[in-house]
Amino acid sequence: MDVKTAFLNGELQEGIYMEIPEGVREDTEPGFACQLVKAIYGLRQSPRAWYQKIHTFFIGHQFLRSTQDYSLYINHERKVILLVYVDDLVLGAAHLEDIRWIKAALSKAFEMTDLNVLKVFLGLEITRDRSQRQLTIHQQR
Amino acid sequence: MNDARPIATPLDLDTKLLAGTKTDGEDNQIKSVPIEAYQSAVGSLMYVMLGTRPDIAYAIGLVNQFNHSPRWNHWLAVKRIFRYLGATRDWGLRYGTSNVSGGYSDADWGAGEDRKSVGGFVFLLKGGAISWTSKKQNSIALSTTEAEYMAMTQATKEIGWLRVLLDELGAFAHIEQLSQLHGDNQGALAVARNPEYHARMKHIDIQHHQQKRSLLLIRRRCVLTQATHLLRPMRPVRPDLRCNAPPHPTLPDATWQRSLRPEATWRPPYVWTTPDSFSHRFFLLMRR
Repeated sequence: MDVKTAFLNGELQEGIYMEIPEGVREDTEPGFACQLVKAIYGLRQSPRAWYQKIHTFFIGHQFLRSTQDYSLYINHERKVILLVYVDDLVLGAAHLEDIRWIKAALSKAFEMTDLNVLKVFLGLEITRDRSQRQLTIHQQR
Repeated sequence: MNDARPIATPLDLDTKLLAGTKTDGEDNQIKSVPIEAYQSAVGSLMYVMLGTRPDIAYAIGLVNQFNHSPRWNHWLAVKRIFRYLGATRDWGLRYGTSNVSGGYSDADWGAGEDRKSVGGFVFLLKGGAISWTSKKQNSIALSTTEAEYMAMTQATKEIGWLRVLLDELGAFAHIEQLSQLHGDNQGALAVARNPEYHARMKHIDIQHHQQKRSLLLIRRRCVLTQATHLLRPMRPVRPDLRCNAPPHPTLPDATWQRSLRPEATWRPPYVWTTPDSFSHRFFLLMRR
C-alpha cells in the first residue's frame, strides 16, 4: 500500500513559520507570516515527523518494531508482518482477515492507495506462483 | 548496453585485473576512461547486486577497487558484467523450489594483487538466497585454511544476526537450519570444530590478538557459549509495555532438552553448528 502525501500527516514539534505564498491573500499586511500547523514537504523535520506518526500508529496497533531493522514491524498476536519505506508499505499475514484488519485501520488513519498484491518494492519485482508455492524476486529493469 | 553480446560469466578469471600503473597495455595508454562514468556504472551494478544478484558480488568487488583511477581494462571488465546481466536478465531469487537452507562460505586464497583473500558467504532459505556478502579480508591469509576460516567467522556473525531476526519474526522452524554453516576446506572445518591445539594455526591466535580483532576471541566466545549453554538463553527485554502482544516465546522444551545433551551429539560431521543459546549470548558479547 501507499500513503498519499505522507509527509502532510506529520505533526510538528516546534513552531515553524513561512512566508505567505503568492496569491493566497492579497490583502495581508506586510510583515505577517503563516504558522504551520502540520508538516509540509521540504521541511528538514518532515521525514522524521512522518516516521514518528506512523511509528506511533503501529505501536498503538500492537506492533513491535524489530530491533534488527527499524522498518520492520511485527504483530505477534495476529501474525502480521509489515515493512515501511517512507510512504510505501508491504503487508504480510498468515490470514487474509488480518490483512483486511490492518488495511482498514490504515485507511482510517491515513489517506491510502491500495496497490493490491505486491508486485514491486524498492525496484525489486516480486512474482508468486501459488500453485507451485514459489516466490521469485528479480530486477529485469 | 541493451543489445550487448551475451556472455555466460561475469568475470574473466584468466586475466588478472591490476591497478593502472602495472598494466599499461596499448589500449590503456590511448583510451581514457571518464571516472564519473566508471563510478556510476559500478554504482548501478552494486544496486542490482544488493537487490537480487549475489552472483555478481565477487566481480563487483574487483572492479570496485579501481574506482579512483579506472583504466581501459577495468572498463572492459565492467562492461562484461553488464553483458552477463543482459544475458541473464530474467534471473532472480526463487524461494520454495527446495528445502535447502543454511549458510555456505568460501574464500579465494590470495587471488588479488595485494594477496589479501576475498571471502564470502550466502545464506539460503527454502532454496533461495536471503543474505550474501563478498568482501576482501582485512589481513593476509597464509593458507587456504586461514582464508576460509576468516570467511567462516564473517558468516558466523551473520548467523548471530539472522537468528535474532528470525526469532523476532517468530520463524523458529528455520533458526536451526539457517545456523548450519557449510565450508569446503577440511582444515578450516577442523579448526572450527576443535579449536584446542593446531600448531600451524597458532599464528592466527598471535596475529589477531595483536590486531585486537581476534578470530580466536570470537572462536573462544563460541566455545564459551558451548560451555555455558546450560544456562537459559537470555531474551532481550521488550522495552514497550504498552503492547498487549503475548510474552516473548521461550524455547520449546524439546530444544531445551537437546541443549542439555553433551556437545558431541549435536555436531553433524563437516557442518559447524552453533548451539541453541548461541545467538543471544553471541549478540550480547559482540555488542561490547
